[in-house]
Amino acid sequence: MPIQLTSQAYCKMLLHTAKYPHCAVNGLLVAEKTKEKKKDGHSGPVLCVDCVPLFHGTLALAPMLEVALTLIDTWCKENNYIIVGYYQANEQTKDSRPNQVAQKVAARISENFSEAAIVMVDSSRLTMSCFEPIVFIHDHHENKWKVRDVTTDAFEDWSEAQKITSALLVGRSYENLIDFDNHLDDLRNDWTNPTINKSVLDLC
Amino acid sequence: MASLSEMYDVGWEEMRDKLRKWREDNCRNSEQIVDVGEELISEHASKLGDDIWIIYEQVMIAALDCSRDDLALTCLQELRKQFPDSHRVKRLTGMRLEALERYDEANKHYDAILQEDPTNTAARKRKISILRAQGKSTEAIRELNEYLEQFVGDQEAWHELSELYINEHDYGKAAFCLEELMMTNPHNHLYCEQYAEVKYTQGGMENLELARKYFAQALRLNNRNMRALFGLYMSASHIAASPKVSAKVKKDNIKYAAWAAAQINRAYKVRGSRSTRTMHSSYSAALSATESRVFHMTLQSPTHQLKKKKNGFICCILTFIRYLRTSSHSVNLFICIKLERNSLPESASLAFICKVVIPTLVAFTPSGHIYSFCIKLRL
Repeated sequence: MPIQLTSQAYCKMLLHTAKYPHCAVNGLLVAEKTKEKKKDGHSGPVLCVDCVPLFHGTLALAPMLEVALTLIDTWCKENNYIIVGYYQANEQTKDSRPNQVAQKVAARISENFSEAAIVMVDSSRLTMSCFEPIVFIHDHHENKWKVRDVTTDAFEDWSEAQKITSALLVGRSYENLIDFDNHLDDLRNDWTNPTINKSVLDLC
Repeated sequence: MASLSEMYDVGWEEMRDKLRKWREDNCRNSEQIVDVGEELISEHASKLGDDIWIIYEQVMIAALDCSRDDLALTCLQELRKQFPDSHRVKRLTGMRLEALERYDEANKHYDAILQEDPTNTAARKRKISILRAQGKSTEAIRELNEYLEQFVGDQEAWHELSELYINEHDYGKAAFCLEELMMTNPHNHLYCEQYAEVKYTQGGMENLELARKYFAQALRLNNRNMRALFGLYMSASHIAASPKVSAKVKKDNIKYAAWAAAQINRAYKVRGSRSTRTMHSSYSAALSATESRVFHMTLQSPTHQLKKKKNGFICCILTFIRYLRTSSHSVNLFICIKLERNSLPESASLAFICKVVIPTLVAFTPSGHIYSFCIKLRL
């Protein structure tokens, strides 16, 4: 089932990428948990309502990633979310293929959610005006990750997402974005980013 | 647009001191440096005295990071005028070419510096950075190794090499680089902690034990290092959960994991903000979820030794019903243990529970209290 991104998820992903332009960044995508059973294997697209920025810099180390996955999993259960995807922006702006780390994390996510997707951010096309979507969505087919054409269908409301992301990038809101790395540096930093979520809501 | 000094009511001295602090801490907050530095140089250049040259350098590098070529060129020209033959300024020229992605020109530039001065480390490191920027990791690693053969004490270079190896998933060599760093900086808790993370990622029982030890060492050097605390918890839990370790090792690691869990809980209570404190209870639940798995394995393995007959086996089911979210001082545990189809006499089972299970539970709970305990023996 294809995933769809809300403005909040897309916006926070891009803010995270913009905050650390010289590093690789990654994070998780969460969706609301629905109790509907799929009848014939086809239900509506999964809507990613939020994302949790994880790390910047060295992404290939296991322990903090495991800690993050456990804690975020618990947070999801409390808020009736489920982890449905993983996003990553590589250090090399020209390279937007999912690497080993991305595939490993996505495999872990797939254990709990069969249709996990990898979203790669194409940081070479990151601009203030966000005139086009700059993500590549990869789905798992026959043991390989295949990229899917991203149109405005991949968004709940593309024009809203564009407007909000552009406004927050210009306003340099990324300086206040907290990722899990920031949280580990100082526990008072809240990786759910309530202030940014509020700014997004205010702009809706 | 209002100037920074008007907006934030700071004087030029504070701006200059801020820049100095960022220089000393080697922060890469380029946008802030550009904002503060640009205003400082344009409005207060005369007051800065000789500090202005190092500020020009700092602002220029930050401007390159922010794609502000105009500002970078201004700074560079001032520096060139003042220090016409300086290699340090030539390196900045090279960096500007790198920022414009004119890598061949930049390389020629650095080669010229190295011809005049073969010991110029800055130019050599820039050439390696060009390789990294172009994505040529293998060449960058090779060049960096050659560089380090000559300049063994360059810590920045060792750290860069460890990063390159980690990105290539060559954890063994990354560990080697971090070992070099730990040898020359035994009091640096960050190197200890990163080394432990690399060992943990490598995997395998020996590496996990080493990881746990170095997480503990990092914690000793800085008891506020949360990564070390989490790392200690994870490595101890994994060791305890492994079927291959002896009972004593398991018991010790459960103790370490329990201690780490308690410290983590305390850290969140003390230092967590109001919003993270509401997540605190979910963290304890998360920790308890993993704790119960650890505990489960412990009970299983010693009982294998008690297994006598083919049909008889002791099945221990440990259920942590729920951590009741009451006050910070009490943790209620309701534990239910079922021993089923036990071929041992009742007295032996009870002895096992009293001598092994209960003490382990007591050592394990953060506040040392067990409020409810229910044992069902079905024999």
